[in-house]
Parts: sequence; structure tokens; C-alpha cells
Amino acid sequence: MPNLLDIVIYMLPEDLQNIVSSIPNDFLCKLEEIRIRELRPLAIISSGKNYYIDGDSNPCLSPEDGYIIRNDHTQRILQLISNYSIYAIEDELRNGYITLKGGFRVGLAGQTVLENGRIKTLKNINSFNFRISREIKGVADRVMPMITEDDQIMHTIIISPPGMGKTTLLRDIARQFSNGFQNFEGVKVSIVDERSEISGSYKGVPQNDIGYQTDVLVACPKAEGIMLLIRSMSPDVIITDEIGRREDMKAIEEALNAGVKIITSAHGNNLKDVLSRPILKEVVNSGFFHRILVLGNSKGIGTLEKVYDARSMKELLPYPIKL
Amino acid sequence: MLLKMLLNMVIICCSSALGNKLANRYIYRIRDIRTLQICFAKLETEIIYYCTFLPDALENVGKSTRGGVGKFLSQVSANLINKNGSSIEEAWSVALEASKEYLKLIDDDYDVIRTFGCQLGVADRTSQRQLFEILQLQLKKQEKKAEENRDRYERMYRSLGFLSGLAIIIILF
Repeated sequence: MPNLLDIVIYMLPEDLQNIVSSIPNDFLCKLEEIRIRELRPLAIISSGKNYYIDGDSNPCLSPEDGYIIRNDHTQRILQLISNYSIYAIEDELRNGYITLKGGFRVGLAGQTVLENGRIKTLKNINSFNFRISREIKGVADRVMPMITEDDQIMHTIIISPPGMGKTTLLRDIARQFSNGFQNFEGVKVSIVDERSEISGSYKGVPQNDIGYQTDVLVACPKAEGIMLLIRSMSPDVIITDEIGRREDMKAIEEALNAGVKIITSAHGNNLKDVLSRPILKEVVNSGFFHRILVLGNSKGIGTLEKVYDARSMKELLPYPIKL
Repeated sequence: MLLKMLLNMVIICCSSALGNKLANRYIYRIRDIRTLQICFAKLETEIIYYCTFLPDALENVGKSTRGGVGKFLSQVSANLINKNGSSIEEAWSVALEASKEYLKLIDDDYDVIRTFGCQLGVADRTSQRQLFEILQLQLKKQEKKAEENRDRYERMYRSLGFLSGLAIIIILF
């Protein structure tokens, strides 16, 4: 895991560096999150399970054995992840996360400071969630034929609960559309990466392989970003994640009118779940989309559970497949 | 006789040099304080207007400044990026301690810079701007004090060097 050890580890104070780097390899390989909470034990999520880490780097299930995080730890982590420059990450703080070099994202929680009823910034930050995003090239190999038809890209929405590989899938889809696959020739792809997670951009430069013909707009609100890209980058496909607001729908409609294909995602456990949310229901029923993909966990993280033809609501996948 | 003359000359030269050295401390202190003011103004621009990350900002300013102050800022930057998880306060203090070798500041000046370093980078832009304003005011004050000291002591030390040489000669011979 050179990536993890190279980047995330140096965002920790020295004692935590030593502890985390000595965690048994079996756990490090499948590491998904490192959780730091002040005055509570150091924890990791590995293979979907929560473990507390004791002072000798051993994962254990009882919180009492865990290595307790002190105030100076959290203070120091904040300095390190902000690159000693809180002033430069005011916007990120407002959104509650910071993207590190390599595309790793750190979620933050603490006390919010409000201005006119909106979050101005965070203070007393005491919880950190280091998310170890993984780039899995080829994860979309079996998906690509389902979202294309006679070399035409289908408007697609991916529905998935958090942590099921939605972003990883979107990233690989972007790469494959951009570089081309099998008989499909590469097209111009634009990504509106509101949370810098698909491209893993650091200082605006993508750290993940998102393809040769891909342009990324980082940290931009989706609706505005989609409009901007249609005007400026003449994309064939726009990829964005986690839609759900009304203005997103408007922008998507605009993209469809401009003849640009849309691949996007939404949070939800299944189709029913999504249909219970008014805005998403509207989108699904409006016939904007051609394909609905549902991710789940029935065969492990990143299982493609269902594929629907959005217009006829016919299921296209006979049984779930592990991507 | 010639030897005596030569010896006198040596004594006068040595004592004058010593006097000059002591007197120059006052001049160098002012020079360093002024360089610090310029550097921190540049750093402020980097931070407030360009939002450059602190280690990069410090390195940029450090590189573009000759002499001890530049060396000090580059050192802080190096301490920050050496990946041992140190805080800005530590990186700053370590570099500041090392800078005592080549900066001609007095403890009062160091206190001002140390206090500033502890708060650098740890707040939003508005607070950082205020921090820089306060620092510049304090440095201005230190500069004024340094100038007063220079006016008072510089010439005194130079004369003292020369005169003490003369006194030694008179006593010896």
C-alpha cells in the first residue's frame, strides 16, 4: 500500500504514524477508513468492519483497549491536513472535508460557525475520517456494455448506499469512455467533481487515472458546473455524482437538450428507496435516463445488484455480479 | 622603537576592531528587523492574496531573500515538509533557535517573532491579516528601539574601542 503509507500516514502526529504503520498487513490491505475522534480510541474500518487500535497497533473489538486520541493529536492533524494553511482551505472547511494529495479525502466534524444561518466555517474540529479511496482500473469492464448500445452512450444513473464503490465505478467509467474500450472509440469526457472524489484532485490536478480525454471541474457545484462545461468544453459525456437537488435536475435536463450524455449517481439502497424521494422520483419517472444501475453488498462490496432499462423498467441483469 | 610602534599599532587596531564589532551589532539588528518587515509583507501577500500553502509561501519568500532572514524562513519551510508530523509552533521555534547563530536580533525581537509563529497558518484569512498587521506594528516598534540604541551606543562603542586601546598603550608604556 505505498499510496496510503506515503500520504495519509504523514498527516498524523509521530506516535500515531508509528501505530498506524504497524497495523497488521491483512487489515491495512483492506483499510477503508481511519477514524480519529478526540478523547476516544483510534479506530479503523477494514473490510467493512470497525476495529479499535491499541497502543501496540493491534486491532481489537473492545473500545477500552484502544489508543486514546488527545487534543494535541487533533490540533496537529488539522495543521497537517491543511498543510499548515487553514486560511487556504476555508471553502473546504465549510463543506466539511479536505482532499489530500493522491485524492484521499478527510472528512471533518466539530463545531460550526454560522453566518446568516449558513455554515461559515468549522471550529474546534475534533473528528477526522480519513477515507482511503481506491482506484480499481477495470472495475467497470462488465458495466460498459450495459451502458452503451450500438456505440451510443446511455444516460445512466447509479444507485448505491454509501461505501459500495459508486465513486470507484464512476471513475473507471470515465476512464473507459475517455480512452475507449473494446470497439468503442474514446470520446470527450467532462467530470463535475464537486467533492474532488472522482478525480482525487489535489491543487486542481487529478491524481487518479480518469482518461486521456477527460476534463475535470473540481470543487464546483454540480448544477453550475454542468452548465459551464457544456458551454466551454464541448463534452460528449458529463459525469457527476450524488445528484439530488432540484437545480441538479435542471442542469441535467439542459445537458440532455444539448445532446450531452449524462452518467451520474444517487444515494439509495434500492430503486424503491430512490422512488420515495420526490426529486429523484421525478427524474426516474421523467424518462431522462436510459439505464438504472443498483449497487449493493450481496456478494461483497461493489456488487452490481440490478440493471434496469429505465423506460420499460425491465430488469436486464439476471443475477447480481461482483464487479 | 620600531617594534614598540608596531605593537602600539596592533593594540589600537585590535581594540578598535572590537569596538567596531560591538557597535555593528546595533546596525545589523536594524538591518535584520527591516528585512523581516519586508519578508513578512511578502509572506502576507502570498497568504492573503494568493492563498499559497504556508510551506510553499515560506519557501518562496525565503528563496527571494538573501542573508539570515531568508535562511530562517527556508528553514521553517524545510522543517514543515520533513514529514515527521511536527506542528507549526515546533517547526518555527526550532528554526528560530537555530537562527540565533546568524541573526543579530535580541531576545525582545525573538519574542515578537515567536509569538507570531505560533499563530501563523492556524486561522482564517481575516485573522491572518490582523496577525500580520500586529506583527508589522510590533516590528516597527522594535526597529525604533533599535535605532535609538544605535544612536546611543554605536558611536560610544567605536570611540570606546579606540580609546581603550590608547589607554592600554599609556598604561603599558
